[in-house]
Amino acid sequence: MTDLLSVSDLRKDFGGVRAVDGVSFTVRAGETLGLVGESGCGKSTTARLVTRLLEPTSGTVRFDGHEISRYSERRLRPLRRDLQIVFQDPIASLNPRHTAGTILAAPFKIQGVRPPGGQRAAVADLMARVGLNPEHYNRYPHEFSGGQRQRLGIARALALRPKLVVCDEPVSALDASVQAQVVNLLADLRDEYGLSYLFVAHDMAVVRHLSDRVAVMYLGRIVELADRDTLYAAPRHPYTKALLSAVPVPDPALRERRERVLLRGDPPAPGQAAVGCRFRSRCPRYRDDLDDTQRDRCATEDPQLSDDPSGAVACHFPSP
Amino acid sequence: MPAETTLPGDSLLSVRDLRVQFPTDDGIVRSVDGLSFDVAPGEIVGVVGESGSGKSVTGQAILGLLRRTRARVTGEIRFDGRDLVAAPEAELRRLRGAELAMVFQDPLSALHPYYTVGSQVSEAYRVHNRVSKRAARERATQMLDRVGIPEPHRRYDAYPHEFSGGMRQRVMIAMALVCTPRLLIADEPTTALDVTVQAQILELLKDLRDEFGSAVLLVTHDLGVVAETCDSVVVMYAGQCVEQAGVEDLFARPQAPYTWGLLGSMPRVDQDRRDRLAPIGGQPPSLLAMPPGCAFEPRCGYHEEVPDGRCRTERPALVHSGDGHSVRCHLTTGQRLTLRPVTS
Amino acid sequence: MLRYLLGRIAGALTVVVVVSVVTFAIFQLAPRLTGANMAFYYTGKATSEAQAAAVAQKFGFDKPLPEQYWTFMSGIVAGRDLSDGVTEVECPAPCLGYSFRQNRPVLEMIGEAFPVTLGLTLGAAVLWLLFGVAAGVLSAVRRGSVFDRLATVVSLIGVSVPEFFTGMLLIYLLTSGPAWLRLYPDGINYVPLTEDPVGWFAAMVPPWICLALLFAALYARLTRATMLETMNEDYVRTAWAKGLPPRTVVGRHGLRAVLPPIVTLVGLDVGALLGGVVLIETLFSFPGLGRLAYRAITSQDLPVIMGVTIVGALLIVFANLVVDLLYGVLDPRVRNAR
Repeated sequence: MTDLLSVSDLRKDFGGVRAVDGVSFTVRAGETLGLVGESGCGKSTTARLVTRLLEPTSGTVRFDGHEISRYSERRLRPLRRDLQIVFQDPIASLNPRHTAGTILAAPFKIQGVRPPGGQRAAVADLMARVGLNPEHYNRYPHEFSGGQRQRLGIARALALRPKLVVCDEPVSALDASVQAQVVNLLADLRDEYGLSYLFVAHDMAVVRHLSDRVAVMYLGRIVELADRDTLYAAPRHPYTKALLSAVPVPDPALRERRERVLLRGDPPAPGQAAVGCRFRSRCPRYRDDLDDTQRDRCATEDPQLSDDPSGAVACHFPSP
Repeated sequence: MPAETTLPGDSLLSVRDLRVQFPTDDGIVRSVDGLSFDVAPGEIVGVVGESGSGKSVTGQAILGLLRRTRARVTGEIRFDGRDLVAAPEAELRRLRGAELAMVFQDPLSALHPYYTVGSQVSEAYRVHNRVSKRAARERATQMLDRVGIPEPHRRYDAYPHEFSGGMRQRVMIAMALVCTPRLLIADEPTTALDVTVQAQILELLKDLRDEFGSAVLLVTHDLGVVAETCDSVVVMYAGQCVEQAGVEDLFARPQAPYTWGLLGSMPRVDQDRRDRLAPIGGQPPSLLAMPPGCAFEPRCGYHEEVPDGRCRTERPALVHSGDGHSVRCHLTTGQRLTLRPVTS
Repeated sequence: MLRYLLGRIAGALTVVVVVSVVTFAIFQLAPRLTGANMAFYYTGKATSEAQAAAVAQKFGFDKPLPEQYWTFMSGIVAGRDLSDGVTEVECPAPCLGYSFRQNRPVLEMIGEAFPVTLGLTLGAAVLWLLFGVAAGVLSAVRRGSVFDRLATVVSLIGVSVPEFFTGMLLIYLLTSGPAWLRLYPDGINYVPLTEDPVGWFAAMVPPWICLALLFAALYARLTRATMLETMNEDYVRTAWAKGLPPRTVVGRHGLRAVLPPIVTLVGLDVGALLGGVVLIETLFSFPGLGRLAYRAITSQDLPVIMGVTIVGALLIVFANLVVDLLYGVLDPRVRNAR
């Protein structure tokens, strides 16, 4: 498989606060990479950096053969056909004064594309494809329900058949039953159009359901990156372990049987670059399992993401 | 419909045919529409439903917090023998905070930004206990310590904005439990928190229940949270209870098609699901214009199994089906056994 | 807190310097632009050419502007000698200028007028706060009640009726109205507080009412709106859930959150009024800063105008500083944010 998106050592500072601190990953053609983490870990900033809605402080973003991290908006425009984003909050990302038809026709207009059969037909087709009634062409965003608005957002992203869609928490504002509809839709569209997704979310279960590989972020860094089955079956980073064990499972029979790793404290807010491993203040392994020499290493040496083909982990003492 | 669920004698809280209606310009919104359930002393009962199901409104109705709004509350909320719907405000005020306490979803907005957390906790204690300021401070500090605030003596004088989200929710819990109430209503207490912090807070709630013996009404949208935390469950849909059961029973033998739908919608973190989720189609009904029959009928895949189109014309009653399991559905017990989809 | 405090004080000092420069520049420029005789503006008297030259020499009109500004500012600290071309006068420190019309240092005149304005403003502020805030809170708590509707109408009238109208009406009624209302048959005359406290109070009441009426209406509306918003806040719901009695919920939890915006407004309004309640003072013939300024303008007594302007600006800056500091006391979030 070829790399469609390749991100290397990406950094973003917001006035001295380092939100993204040296992130590297690739998304191969046709695959879905899940990017998970808790609030403040930098996952949404990363989504905005790779779509160049934000300018990186340093690092490279290579998309489909172009190094776009320093591209001007004019040079980016032709590439935007192939690189789209879906946001969490559908109501905030849709112009309230435009009808569904206008919103969905905009990508064609901006890119100067004349779809065969005309714009109107293409929009109606798009609406049908994402499960909206094409007769609602003239409705405004507020006349749709939350789930329908997210379908509208997805339809807009898909209008020009992009290669990569960055999904930033696309289902977290939706109720369970509606969330499942949208998750299914995303999966169906991927299969039909051969899309690649960078799927950014905090919900470990949804990410498991949709992703081929998963990257876990903590305080601006990727701490573990592995293929989905490996990561969920045998997480190696203590943070990944804790994160997975914290997700409630809808099966009371497992309540007693599951091994739980309770972390202390809240995820810290991003700040200045620190010395040593940034997870050690909450790390149960550091607290309970390591001797002083080992701890010393955690306190002084910043663990780098290993280059293991089966799964990369940024920990001095990962689980096997 | 008195004999529907557990015996009233066992229960600390017994809600019967509760209705909450909000008059609006477009008509009457029936947020809660004939809800009945029970909470036993020391029990953690999950009230689960999607947005608009009436689960949060139910919690506020129990505490009488809707009295200051335009809502019309009818039915019966029997707490320890007293009917809270009919109780005079002065009596309810004596119960609020002392016997019935509440924790809200967003601890930042639920704490007063201009008072120290300690003073807010001790205020809650002093309303119901004639004690000196110093004794209240002592008690509040003790409580802050108990819910896991580090250095409680020093942090007593800190303001809410100086705490993290998880710590703020601990403060809220300390405030709610400072008078050791017999019922704690926790309205989506972990929804605004990160998952690792959620796990801590749920653990804390369970520990405190064991220690203080308070019953907990845990209002949530997350069946996972219910499965991890609760003893029994009330599943709400469009203002009604569609199913109530013990937690193991509910997850092992769900009986209402809506519950099947909810479970089928959930991706699992602990196992691979088959390729597609099985979501519920369509949208919840408008609370302004409820269907005359079963509220779930328009989205239900099983209404053709019931003869004579009864699902469309006749509202099913909440029926006790053994083992403290109640369900609101026209399907027969036998049909429910054969039709239930295999979820996991 | 200390950092916040120092930061605010430094900011206020900067503004003071800027204000003095701008005021000075305007009063330097104005005569030049109108082509009038500088000596006239500064002495307030017609002058012969020889006198004008003497004045110009004494004031240093031929010197570069920055130097003149420096002389003016150092005069405030050290005092200076001035002349209208006839007599030499000593303007003792702190010298804000000398009015040759009145033959008195400007600061002395301001010092006499300021207590009048201060008494007027503070007294009125107490009144409007008492009535405005109380009416606003009551309106909000009993929203839609008869009281609320009545208060809305009254405050609308209070806001829209000009103060000179209420002032004139009040003077008419109290001095020559129907007998039972004629409480001040000899007119409303200002007496200094130090001479006759009772007389002072009696004289102050009508202008207080007049001034407070307008502001009470504004404050009632502001309080009602903010209070309504606050009572819907989650933390007020928490207060109800604790089982607190209504007066505690409204007073301790609701009203407390309304304080910062009200305090801000009071500070700014009082600061602005202290610079001179022109209309009311003129109407009631009270010798306050406003009337001083008004008279200086009509008689083109430039040193006085300049002095009052600078003092007025200083008072506003000072009020702003006080508001900022109070905000720090009232809102712990502000205190901690640098």
